[in-house]
Formats: sequence, C-alpha cells, structure tokens
Amino acid sequence: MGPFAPAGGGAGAAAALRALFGLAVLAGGLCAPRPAGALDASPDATDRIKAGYEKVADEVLCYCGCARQTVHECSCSVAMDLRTDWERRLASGETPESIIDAYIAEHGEQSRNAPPRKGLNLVAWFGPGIAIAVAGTVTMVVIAVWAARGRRAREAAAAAGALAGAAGVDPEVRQRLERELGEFDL
Amino acid sequence: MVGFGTTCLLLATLAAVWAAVSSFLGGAVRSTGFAISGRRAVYAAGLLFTIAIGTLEYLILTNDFSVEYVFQNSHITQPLFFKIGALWGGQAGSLLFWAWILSIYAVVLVFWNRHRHKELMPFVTGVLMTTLVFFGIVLSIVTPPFRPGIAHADGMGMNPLLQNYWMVIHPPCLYLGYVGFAVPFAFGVAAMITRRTGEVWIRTTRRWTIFAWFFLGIGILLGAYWAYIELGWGGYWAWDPVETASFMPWLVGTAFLHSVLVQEQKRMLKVWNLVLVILTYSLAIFGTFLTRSGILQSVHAFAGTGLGPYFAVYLGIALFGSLGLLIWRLPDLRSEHRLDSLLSRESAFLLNNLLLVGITGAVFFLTVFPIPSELWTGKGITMGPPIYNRVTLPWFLALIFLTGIGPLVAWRKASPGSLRRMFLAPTVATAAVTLALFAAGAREFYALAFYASAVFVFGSIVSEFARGAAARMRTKGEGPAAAFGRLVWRSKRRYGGYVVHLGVVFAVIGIAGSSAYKKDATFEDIRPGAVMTLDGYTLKYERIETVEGTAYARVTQYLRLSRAGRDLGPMVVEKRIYKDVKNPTTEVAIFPFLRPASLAEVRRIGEDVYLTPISMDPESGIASFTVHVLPFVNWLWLGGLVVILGTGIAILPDRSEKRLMAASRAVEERAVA
Repeated sequence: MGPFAPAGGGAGAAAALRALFGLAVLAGGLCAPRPAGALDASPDATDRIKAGYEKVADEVLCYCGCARQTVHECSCSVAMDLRTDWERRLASGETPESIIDAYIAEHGEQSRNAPPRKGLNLVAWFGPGIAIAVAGTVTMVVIAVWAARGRRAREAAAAAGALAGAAGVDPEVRQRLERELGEFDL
Repeated sequence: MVGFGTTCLLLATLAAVWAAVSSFLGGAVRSTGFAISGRRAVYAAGLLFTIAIGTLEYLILTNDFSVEYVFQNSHITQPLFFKIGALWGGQAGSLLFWAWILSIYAVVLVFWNRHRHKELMPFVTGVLMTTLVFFGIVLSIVTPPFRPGIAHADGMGMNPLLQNYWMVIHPPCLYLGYVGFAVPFAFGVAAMITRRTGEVWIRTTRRWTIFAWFFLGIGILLGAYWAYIELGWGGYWAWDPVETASFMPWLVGTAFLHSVLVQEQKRMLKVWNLVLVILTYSLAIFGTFLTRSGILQSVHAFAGTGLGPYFAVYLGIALFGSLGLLIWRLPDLRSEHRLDSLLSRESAFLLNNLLLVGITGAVFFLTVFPIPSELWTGKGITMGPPIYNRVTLPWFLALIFLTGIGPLVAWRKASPGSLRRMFLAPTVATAAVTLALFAAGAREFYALAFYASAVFVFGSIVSEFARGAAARMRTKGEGPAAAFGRLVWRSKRRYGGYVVHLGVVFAVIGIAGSSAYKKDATFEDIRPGAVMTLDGYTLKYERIETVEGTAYARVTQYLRLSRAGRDLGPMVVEKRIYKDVKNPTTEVAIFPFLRPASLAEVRRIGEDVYLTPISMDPESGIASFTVHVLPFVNWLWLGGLVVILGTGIAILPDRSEKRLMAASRAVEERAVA
C-alpha cells in the first residue's frame, strides 16, 4: 500500500488526489514561509557567504506567490533554489549588491522589501519623522505660550478680584467642583 | 431564496433611507413624529438586514452552490464552524456583515436612548443611517451577495489559510471595532449640528468608544495571532496594508480616548476631539476601502473592483462634510480654560495625542506612498517592515515612555517636588534593570530602550496603585487587599486604564524580545531518527505519516522536543493539500516554554519553540525544517489578556457618572439657551 492509500471512497478520486498531493509536496512545500537565519545550520557556507546571502535575502521579496515575504523568510522551493544559486555566486566572488541588482532587474522594483533611499523615496524615508519632530516642537512651544497666557490671565483676574464674591451655586461651578472632588475620590 | 435575500436587502436599504430622511427631518424641524418614524425605520432596517444575512448563512449551510458567493466560499465538506465563517470570508459577505453589525448597533443605540438626548438622537440616527444606506447601495449594485451563478455540484471552499478558528473570530471583532466608531462619530456630528458641543456627547459615547476600541484592538491582536500560528514564518506583524488599515483607526481611537479626559476635566480640546472622532471614523471607512478596493496592489485596480469609486465618494463626503461642519461651528468650540503649565497632565496628554496622531500620519503616508510613487515613476514599490520600523520606532519609544509619565503628573501644574516624589522609584528601577540587561549582554539599542521604557511604565503604574492603596489604608483603616480592591472599584475608569497600560507593557516586552533576540535555523534533508539542536533545545525527528481525509490529504511529521535531557513533549507538523487548491498549507508546531527547570531557565519563561515543515518526501521520510526560538513572545498574548481585563474594569459604570452627566447637561442647557 502506497503512502497515499485512501481511507475510503473511490479509487479514481483517490488516485487523482494522490497525484495532486504528490506534485504539491514534491514542489517543495511551495508557500510555507521560511524564516530568517536559514544559513545558521548550513555547514558549507563560510561567514562571508552567509552574511552576503542574508543581505540579499533580507533585501528582496520572493516571487513564488507567498504574501510579501523576503526570500529569507519564505520557505518555498523557489527560495531554496535562490539560496543555492546565490551561495554559489557569492562563493565565486560576486557581490551581494550585484546579485540584488540582477534580481531587481529581473523581477522589478516591487521585489525590494523597501524602496531604496534615493529620489522620491527620500520623502518616504525621512518625511514623516521630520514632520512629527516639527509638529512636536511646535506643540511644545504652543503649550508654553498658552501656559504663559493662562498664568497672566489668572493673575489679572485675581488682581481684579474677579474670583471673589461669586454668589449662589452656578452650574458651571458645580460641575467643576464635582470634577475636582472626584480627583480626591480614592 | 436568492430573490428573497435580494428583496430583503433592497427593503433594508429603503428602510435605512427613510430612517435617515425622517430622522434628519425630525431633528431639523423638531418634529417628534418624524423622529419616531425614523426610529421605527431603524428597527425595520435592523430586522431586514438580519433576515438578509440569515438568508445568506442559510444558503451557505444548505450548500446552495447556485449562488456565486456560496460557490466561492464554501463546499460540502467544509466544517460547520468554517461555514459560519464563510459568511464574512468573501467580499460581498463581509460587506453585508459590516452593514448588519451597523444596523444592530443602530437598533441598540436608538432603543437605549429612546427617552434620552431628544435633541441629539435624530441627527445621530440620521448619520448612522446614512452610513447604512451607503453600504446598502454598494451591496445592491456593486457586490450583491445573492448574485445567482451556475448550479455547481460543489463549491470552491473558503481559502484554507482562513480555515482557522482565530481567523473566524478575528473579522467579527475587527468589524465590531470599525463599525463601532460610527457611534461617537454620529454623536460628534449631531453635537455640531445642534451646537451642543459640551461634554454631554463625550460622556454619552465614552462606553461606546471603549467598546469599539477594545474590539478593534482584539481584532488586530487575533489577526496577529492567526498570522503567527498559520503563516509559518515565525512572525505576527509585517506592516501589510491590511494590517495598517486596522491599526490606523485604533491609534487615533486611542488618542481620542485620552483626549476626551482633558475635555471632561478641563473643558479644553473640543475642536481636537471632534477632529479625532472624524479621523477615527474616516480611517475605519478608509481601512475597509483599502482592503476591498485593491488600490494598493495597483492604482489601476482602483476602478477594476467597482468598489473604489463608491468608497472614495462616500469617504470624501463623510470626511470633508464633517470637517466643513467643524469649521462652521468653530466659534462654538472655543476652550473655556487654558493650559496652566508645560508640566501638567494636560500637556502630557497633548503630547501623547501628538505622537499617536503623528504615528498614524506616518503609517498612513507609508501605506499610500506606493500610489503617488507609481503615478510619478510608473513603477510599483513595496513598503515593507524596514521602512515602517525605521520611521515609527523612535516615536513608539517616546509614546511608551510618555505612558509612564502622563498618569503620574498632576492636572494643571506639577511642582518639581511632586515630580521627584512620583518618579524617583520608577526611575531608579529603570536604571537598575537597564544596567543589569546591559551587563547581561543586551546591546541592541531599540530592544534595550523599549525594555527600559517598559520598566519605567511598570514602575509608575505600580507606584500609583501603591500610593492609592496606602492612602486608603491610612485614611480608612483598611487592610491592603480591601484597600486595593476598593481603590480600583471606586475609580474603575482610572485604574482600569492603568491595567490597560500594564497590558501594553507586557506586549512591548513580548514584541521587543521576540523581534530582537529571535533565533532560527533551517535543517535540510533530515532523516527520521535524526536530531536537530538550536539554542539548547533538541528536536528529534521520529516519523512521518500520510493520511487522506475527506476535506484534505495530509503528511504529518512527529518530532520530540527536549532541553538539557528533559523531555518537553511532542511537536507535530503537517502539510495539507485541499481539493481544488493549488498550494499545500503548512501547520506549524509551537511549544511555549513555561516551566523552567533551573534558575538559568527563568529568563526563558514565555518563549516559544516554533517548528515549520519546509519540504518532505513522503516515501523516504527525508524532510527539511526551520526551527525558531522566540524569546518572550507569549508576553505579547498575555498583554492582550491584561488589556481585556483592564478594559473590562474601565467600561463598568462608575458611581460618579450620573452626577457628572447631570452637571454637564446643566452647563450645556445654559450654553444653548
């Protein structure tokens, strides 16, 4: 009895399923993603090749159809073949950069895990950070100005005696009282 | 049944149209009759959407493959749980599910408030029903869930990757969050229309907002957990547009939850709060648009799905219409108080808001950047984790640090003495732990910085609890347990919030540890009986087995995990091949390390050994595996549970709520008069 012997049902269907399954499994697991560090247990790779492979594999995305995974992460047969190829090329003296360039030339700019830091992409790399930093600085300045204005207004009101002699219980005062009493409510 | 479902959907949309028209009229001309009619139409729309979604589920359960949606998302042998999940597994079903949840939210809201907020409710109802009309139109014209097709004998079935329990639960949570933000948005718009922009709408929507925020957060976490256990790459977050789509409204919703505290306490930030609620709602709609329009795959896909233009128009109306209303009402929205000092809780909350909104802006910019880039250069680009991490990590770090500062600083103005008192213990603890980590060899900057921030926040929360309990023990003579319990019970919102922060601390520990100190290795051509080792763990590959089931065939591999001679248990991985599905799916094995055998292993508590099958030859048993060790990763999931606990505490009613609401209402009535 073969490894795909049916548990029950028609032999034709089972054979078809077996063939399909066999094909898929032999295809090398296809889209089961493979994680980083794939070379850690590879005794043949030198440190230089290992570092070079990781540089390339972290930079580019696998084209097998997996959901936006780098070659380093992807565990399909395509990624395994690429790894073998790149290790061979690195061993023969090719640089990681040239392998990346060749890969991008073949599969398009979209195959990079992130856009290169040049041209319009600089806006994406640095624009948001600069914007948040500027907004943060402006906010701090605005808070400081508001605080100073508030302090001056309070001092002026106190000087004019506006805070004294409020008659009756204004709803607004009551609300503030409730709020501030709540602060002490342990 | 197809005709019945379509008719229900059409009638539901018409009921929503009438509910919107009648409610707006009722509010505008102050007609109780129109308002009541609108309310009844909401109930009718809710009932009809329920019948429509029930009909679609019935068609799925009864295997009616003559309906295109059923054919594409189910098959005869699909387990019942996944047949239920097939309801939201495809585009039309998920949009119908969205609309149904909104209709149920509206029914509950309208019923709950039938005797309250008589001025606001007609407009609230009108806004909610306008959203429902939009989804009704999309469902009737662009993606009809009841579209008839060829009468197939069996269906294609749901995507096998989605046939996972967490993935079935994840979308309902996400949608409860997305849709739930429509409620505070509707109240915000109604407040602007009626010029009742005080604290009443804020206090009324507090629980609704927490509810939506909570479910959106849980939905995001469940999605991450699904990715972790299903996709097999040993990660849980990849900054995919589908992930950022849900993350953005959650971030702005978080900012809103914090800034309403400032409005409630100081009657400031009225404009800001309205901006936040408008942004949160718009981002929720944008998130649905992003995932459903296909625009990020290519700008050319925008019109291809048919959904893009509809969503763009609706989003434009909702966003710019509400912002226009806000500008119109600016004179009513002046703050009645000013900031007293840079060193105050208000300032800390403002900075927290700035960071949350700033990070959201950055994520939004990076998410949509491929569109202008493609238009400009003619080439598509991919925005992967390197750019997102580079741009957002410094600000996340600042945000976590601020989480430790904000709650401890006094309202109005903090004195240097009080700051010293409050922060001395957390600062000392942070310095000690950071030095210890550094001495132990931790050098990765962000991991170390995030750990330091986590310790700081943890210290500030613990000291806050300790100070409160000590005060009760001193003033009320209570024992420690009673003082602690009553402290939390009497101020559930405040201390529930602290518990949520504690959950965030745990999540930070999990994310930093599993990202910075992850180890992995691939082992190729391993024969049964062979042994693999990584980071002190030993995995023995025992055997392989192939089985053909009814829904799929599988190759299962059995391994045994041990550490320092101690058997830790079996690890079983699989490749599955589903009928009519080209690629096999991978079932990983995960072993959470929870019981250390020695002091040296204590640091491993919460780490996972994660095993992925790569390839195998069923005949010879020769196989390849990848093994990951992910330190602290379970702290992330634990953080999620703590956030659930904290939210549960914070959402409970507080005894002061009624009198604060009455006081706010009195102030607002006076202002309107």
